[in-house]
Amino acid sequence: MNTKVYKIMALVLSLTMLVTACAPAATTTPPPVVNTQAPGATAIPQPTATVEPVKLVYWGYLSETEPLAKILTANVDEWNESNPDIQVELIWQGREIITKLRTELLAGTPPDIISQSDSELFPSVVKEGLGYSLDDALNTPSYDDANVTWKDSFIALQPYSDGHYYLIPDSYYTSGIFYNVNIFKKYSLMPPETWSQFLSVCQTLKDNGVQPLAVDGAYGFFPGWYFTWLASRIVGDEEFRAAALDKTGAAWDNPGFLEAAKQVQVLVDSGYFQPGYEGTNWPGAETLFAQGNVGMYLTGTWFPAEVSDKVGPDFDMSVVAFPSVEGGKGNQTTAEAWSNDWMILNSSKHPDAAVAFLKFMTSQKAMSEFASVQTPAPLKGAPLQKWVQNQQVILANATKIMPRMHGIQNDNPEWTTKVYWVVDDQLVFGQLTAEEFIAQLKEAQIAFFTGK
Amino acid sequence: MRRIHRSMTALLFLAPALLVYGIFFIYPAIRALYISLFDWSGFIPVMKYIGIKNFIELSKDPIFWKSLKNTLFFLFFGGIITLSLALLFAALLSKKKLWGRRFFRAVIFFPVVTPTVGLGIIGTFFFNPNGILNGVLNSLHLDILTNSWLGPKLAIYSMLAAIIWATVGFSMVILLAGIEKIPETYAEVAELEGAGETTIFFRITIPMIWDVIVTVIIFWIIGALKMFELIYTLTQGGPNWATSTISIFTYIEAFGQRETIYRMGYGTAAGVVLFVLVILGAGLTMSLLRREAIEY
Amino acid sequence: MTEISRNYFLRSRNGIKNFARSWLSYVILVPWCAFTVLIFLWLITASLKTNRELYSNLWGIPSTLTWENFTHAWSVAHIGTYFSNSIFIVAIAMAATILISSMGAYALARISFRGSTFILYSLIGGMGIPVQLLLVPLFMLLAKMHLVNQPLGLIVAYVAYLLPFSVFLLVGFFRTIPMEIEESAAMDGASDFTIFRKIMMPLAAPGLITALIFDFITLWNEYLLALVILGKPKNWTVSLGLYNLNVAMGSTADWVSLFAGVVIIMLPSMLLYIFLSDRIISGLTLGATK
Repeated sequence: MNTKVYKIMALVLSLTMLVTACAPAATTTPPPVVNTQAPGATAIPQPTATVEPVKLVYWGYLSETEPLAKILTANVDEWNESNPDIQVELIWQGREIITKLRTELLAGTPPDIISQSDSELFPSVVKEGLGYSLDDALNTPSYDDANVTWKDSFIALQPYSDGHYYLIPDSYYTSGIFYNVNIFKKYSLMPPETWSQFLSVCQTLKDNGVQPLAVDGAYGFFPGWYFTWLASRIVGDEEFRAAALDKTGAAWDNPGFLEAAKQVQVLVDSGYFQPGYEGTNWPGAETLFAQGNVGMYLTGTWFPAEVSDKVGPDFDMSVVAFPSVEGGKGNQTTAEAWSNDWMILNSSKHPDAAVAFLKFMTSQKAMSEFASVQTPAPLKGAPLQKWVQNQQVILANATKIMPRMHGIQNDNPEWTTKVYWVVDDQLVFGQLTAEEFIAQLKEAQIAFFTGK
Repeated sequence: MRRIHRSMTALLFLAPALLVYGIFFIYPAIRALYISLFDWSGFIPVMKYIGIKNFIELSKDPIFWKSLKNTLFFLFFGGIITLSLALLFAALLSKKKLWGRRFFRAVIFFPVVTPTVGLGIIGTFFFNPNGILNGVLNSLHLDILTNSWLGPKLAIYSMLAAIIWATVGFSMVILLAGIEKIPETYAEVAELEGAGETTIFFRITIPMIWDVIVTVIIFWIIGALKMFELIYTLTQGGPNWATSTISIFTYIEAFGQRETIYRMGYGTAAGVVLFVLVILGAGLTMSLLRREAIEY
Repeated sequence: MTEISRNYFLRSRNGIKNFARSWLSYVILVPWCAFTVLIFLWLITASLKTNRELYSNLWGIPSTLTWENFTHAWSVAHIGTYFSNSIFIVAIAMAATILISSMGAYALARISFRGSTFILYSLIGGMGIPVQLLLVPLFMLLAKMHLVNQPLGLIVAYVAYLLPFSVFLLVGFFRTIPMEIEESAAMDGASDFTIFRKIMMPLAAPGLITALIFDFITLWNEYLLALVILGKPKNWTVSLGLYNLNVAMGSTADWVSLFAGVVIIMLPSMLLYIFLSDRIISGLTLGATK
């Protein structure tokens, strides 16, 4: 017994020592090596005291192995090589980046730059006033062309509700109906522009044995998009957004919302969604679409990047704006747009350096390869990969841009998750009629706001 | 003299444990209790004192109640099924004549030593509409039985099944050891008296391992209430909060992420409720079920 | 009927009964175990397929053994780094926990002094505290001590986290050791520390091993504390890496590499189990049944 215990302790200790020997990296990271003078460069005579390089810490929201992450890493390396005075340390934190950020903030050691989707940044760090205002920086010249301001180099920028700009996009997405080009050709279908056209396309597909639509029922976000779009097209974009914030819930009495719910019900009752859609979790629906089994798919233009290696050689798709509804107030001149963004933190000691860095990262050259990984770059005139080519058309036709999901996620994420999606799912799963849906939505909303 | 001397030694022995525990466990726990009285996003050190408002809001929050309901569902039904199965397996495996006992015991216990993140990933593929379960049903021409196992109606049952599969081995193994400790003479005498196996089991075995059963129940209560990683990896508490438990609710409210809710104080309040539940559950069980251990 | 023939009768009746019983046992046990075995076999075969193959041939045997999945998971997805980080952190945390908790458990089990019950219950009560509560306050505390973003902070947190259960287990163990051994040693003039070191520890070895095993399983699995305390990916543990992989692979749909990652991470548990299963189970049971 005696020896056994000691043996085990010895094993544990030797394992420890073994690992310590093999994993020196498990402690602190050495700072990036910096030369203030590149060897062989035509040297401006330097004073004997070299200036300490500015060090920026940049947290990315992707995983290192993702295709877009590889491009961004390459860009950062290029920057570091040509800018010895501003060195950027890039760490890929993964999508739980906000959780990690919060603890770092409380500890007082946050990074200088972070990135994540705007729907996560707005209600968290921007709302808490942790963002560095970029209003002034945006009016300075862009990286590529001194005659164009940084702001104008972008297709569009989204300010926060206080009117200031805090986020710089690394991508630009819109939402729309993706459709399988080959299937449409086969049945001589045109991509629908109005809702009745949309329904007739669905019916034609169904009659020919093709699944018209696919949706990931398990995540309320996707089913909820249908009502969001229908309600906005019928009643109006701002009206929908405002109804979500109405503490009395009375806004939902607008008959247009009932009509929107009825149209969702039509989709459900006609069986246009794929079998088992209530339980499909992402990326189930998009996989079905990518495999050529579904005719149309409502989603955002981030989608091609996720399926590029899953599709067959002949696969082709394109995207159109969500159809307008005849007689509705909204038409196809409203589009949604959002992005994944960088944000400089207020606490950064070198915001100017960070701005210079971000200008480089948003230059034409740095973003030139984004199309190859199916990421639409947010710059004016940036090339788009074939499948999302139409995004430009959708956005060009838009006179009004709303945030993703028409802003309700950014405005009140808790309401969206605990009220809207909860009730909407029941509508989409056929558990409620349209009238019941409106009634329950009102009720839940009132309860939600009074409970606060 | 020795008493005082021994107390000093005792404290010396205890000191490192108490130090580490007090500083890195108790102190944060008390801070957490404190935080639950505030409205705080968790990003900046600005907190607004609101007293027990978080708890009042919890009492009116339908999602909280749904999570509580699910938690109790897993606790009771999961407990009854898991413990009955564990007892059954233990009873079967205690028969020395059974061939392959050790193999069965090992396989039943195996999921317990597997990292739960891995189990969750396996589960995702198992329950996927195009995954293993439906695939098997299809190939057996039982197509009508295929379903969306993680859909809103069935998710909680699928989750229950996953929890049972992943944890039954733990309880079984403890119960088995308890049974094996009972000297064989008791059963032999009873058999000679003409008692059947079931009678022996219920009248003799169970009372003799009663304290082990109570221990197993308490472990289950604590484990089931706190369970997080398996549920989070498999369903993230979805779809639509269908498999959300208080543990999951606490995390989502406090830390957000896919649901971008960032309410530290509120989430912590739910965590405090969870803690109270654990204490209540374990305490009640002990006081109601504990009996004098039968000495043998 | 005579005594002897009655016994014969009972035994043959029991013989038939036993036969029937064991068939019943198999009917119950075999399906359950077959299911478990098949699931894990599936995992291993899936980890050797390519992604396309996974979709087309969900069940079958892979046509070629795609070992690249494993090398991909190990190096490109850095499972190798996470693996060594985990071993490092878990080994030290386990060693420290055993040391500290056995000392504390001995004191609580053997030496009755005022407040010992209170201390014991406070320690055990800690088992009920959900880890989510501790995340932020613990992080801030560790940050003040400059222990964040490095393994040492996580080790300290893990030791604190494991103490309640370890103490609970070991107190039970120490209580089963008869007092006489101790008393006779004390009478021979041995100090408490010597008694502890030379007598109690060796005798409690099964309990220590049980505690070690439990601690290992808990820590290898642990996610939330590691998420919050460790910063850069190069410090990540295996559960963090795997979870991150799950999310990342979801975007790129590289499921087979994910499975390979899962298999790699399951290996220590599997090996530990195969070599020590008897020990684990007997240790586990001794502790719990006291």
